Amino acid sequence: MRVHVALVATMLVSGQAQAETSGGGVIKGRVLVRGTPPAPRKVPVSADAQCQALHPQGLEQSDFSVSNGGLADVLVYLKSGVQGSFKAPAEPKVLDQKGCQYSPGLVAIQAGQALTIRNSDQTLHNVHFRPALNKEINVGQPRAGMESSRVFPKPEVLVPIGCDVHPWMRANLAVLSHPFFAVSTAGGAFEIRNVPPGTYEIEARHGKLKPVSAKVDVTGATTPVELTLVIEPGK
Amino acid sequence: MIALVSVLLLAGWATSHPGIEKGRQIFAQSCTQCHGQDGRGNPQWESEVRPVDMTDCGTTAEPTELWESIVRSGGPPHGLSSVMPAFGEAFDKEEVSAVVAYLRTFCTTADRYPAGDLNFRRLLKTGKAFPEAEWVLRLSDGGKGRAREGELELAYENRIGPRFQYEIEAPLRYAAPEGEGRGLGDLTLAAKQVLHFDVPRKEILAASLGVTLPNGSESKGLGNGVWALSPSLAYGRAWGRNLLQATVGAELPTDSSKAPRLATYAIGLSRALGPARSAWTPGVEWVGEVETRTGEHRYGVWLELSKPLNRLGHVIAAAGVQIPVRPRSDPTRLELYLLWDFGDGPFWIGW
Repeated sequence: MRVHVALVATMLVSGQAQAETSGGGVIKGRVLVRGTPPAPRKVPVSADAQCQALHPQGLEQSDFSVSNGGLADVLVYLKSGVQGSFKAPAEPKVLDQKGCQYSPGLVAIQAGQALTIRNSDQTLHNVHFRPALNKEINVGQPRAGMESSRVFPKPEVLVPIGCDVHPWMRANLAVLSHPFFAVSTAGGAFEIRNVPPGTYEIEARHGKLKPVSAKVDVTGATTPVELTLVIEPGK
Repeated sequence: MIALVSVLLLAGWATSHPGIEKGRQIFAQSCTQCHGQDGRGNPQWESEVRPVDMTDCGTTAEPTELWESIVRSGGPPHGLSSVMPAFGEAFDKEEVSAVVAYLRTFCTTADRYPAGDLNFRRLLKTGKAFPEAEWVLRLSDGGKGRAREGELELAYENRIGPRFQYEIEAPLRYAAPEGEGRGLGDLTLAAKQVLHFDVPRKEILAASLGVTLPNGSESKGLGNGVWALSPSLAYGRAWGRNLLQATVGAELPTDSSKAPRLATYAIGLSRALGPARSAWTPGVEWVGEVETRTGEHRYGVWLELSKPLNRLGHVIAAAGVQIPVRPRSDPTRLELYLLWDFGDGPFWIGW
């Protein structure tokens, strides 16, 4: 079943709360979802004996991780209004292939930050990044425990990731020019720290849904935000 | 007439590779998911891309260096599908060599085919020994003023079986010296057979026989009005990236009063300045002919440069200039060629 998507943005900006970090505020909130996500689909994995052994009944997959009205695995980032340049963190982020699935389904890094690509499965995976701005990458990882490291120099939201061997394996990469982003967790919660005071456009991006954005004023304290993505059935 | 007899010297290079069992293991672990256990493509694999059929012995025409580079770097650097991943971090040099040696055994008669490692870069004048499947468009221009002569020649070469190639050449003169005319010149049909090859020594020898038709207008100077046979031998050898290619032959018109009988030769040295499928390749050739009746010997030197135009390396351009040595009064000539190796795929892929 394909999903129809429409968007409604709701933003609740309350008054100032207590600042949690020095030198900047915190944007804290939830990504909510309106509409009914399609039922998880059963993906046969019998083409690969290793994947079949891990999922003898097939793999149950859903594009939407919804709980308590909130949506996980959504990128929330400051789309505009950020001033200055920011050094990429030295600590790499990890994209794992485990149980013939990607973990996490959305990985967000800063441009110039290393991404470690790991294969935890005893089978061949290839990690195929299909960016529009960065260089296309397709790495073959035939052995469990193998790791590769890649750096994406240009900001790009979102980069589709797929395994050509196992077509059900899909994920997304977000590459941002600054550190003011988060990926929503269970229930849609997110938190962006150390945001300099100012006025920004904040956006929520999910690989299957139309993005939603809103204006947010950060004044050095905690700024609550709710962004609502809408799933339209039947599309 | 030269008898086109094949000397069966089976090099056995692929099946004798020391790492072939290792290659089989790697293939089973890392390649069968897409390429299938038999190398023909896994029918269970869900993809819009269909992998190359490795049992097709036409794949032997690709050099080992290219196969290994595709395994290491993936498809895109070679203009191939991005679905082919890069395994350069997964396998070391020996493992890549082993898996390529193994996958080349899918052509069960590979030993009968001259390997693509012997497909040396074409020179402007010296003939190739390797049996090709390509179109070649040549332009030759020289002389000044009323003596200027310019010709386009289109050649079609196609391979049949492991070692045989046939060829059709059609010259078209677009600039004629005073007193002559423009138009289609004498057509040549030719057949070539590889007589010997040795992959470890990187050596190949072929014999060919051409028949030139008297279709060109005599009054316009586009032909001699006689049939002619042109037997020749072509030899190629590589030392690393250095290449030696040579031909010896003859042009034997049926009526020597209308056209001279000639002994012809050419020897060329070139060096690929990098991987053969992508490198600039400068070369020098010594090209001559001797008129058998008078003993007159004419020769000259060609300086040239060639380069593949696309990432796949199956469309190549070359340019060179002839410096006349004997007689020095011969005009300096410019020659270009553009070739498309259609055995590697359509013209438009691999850019």
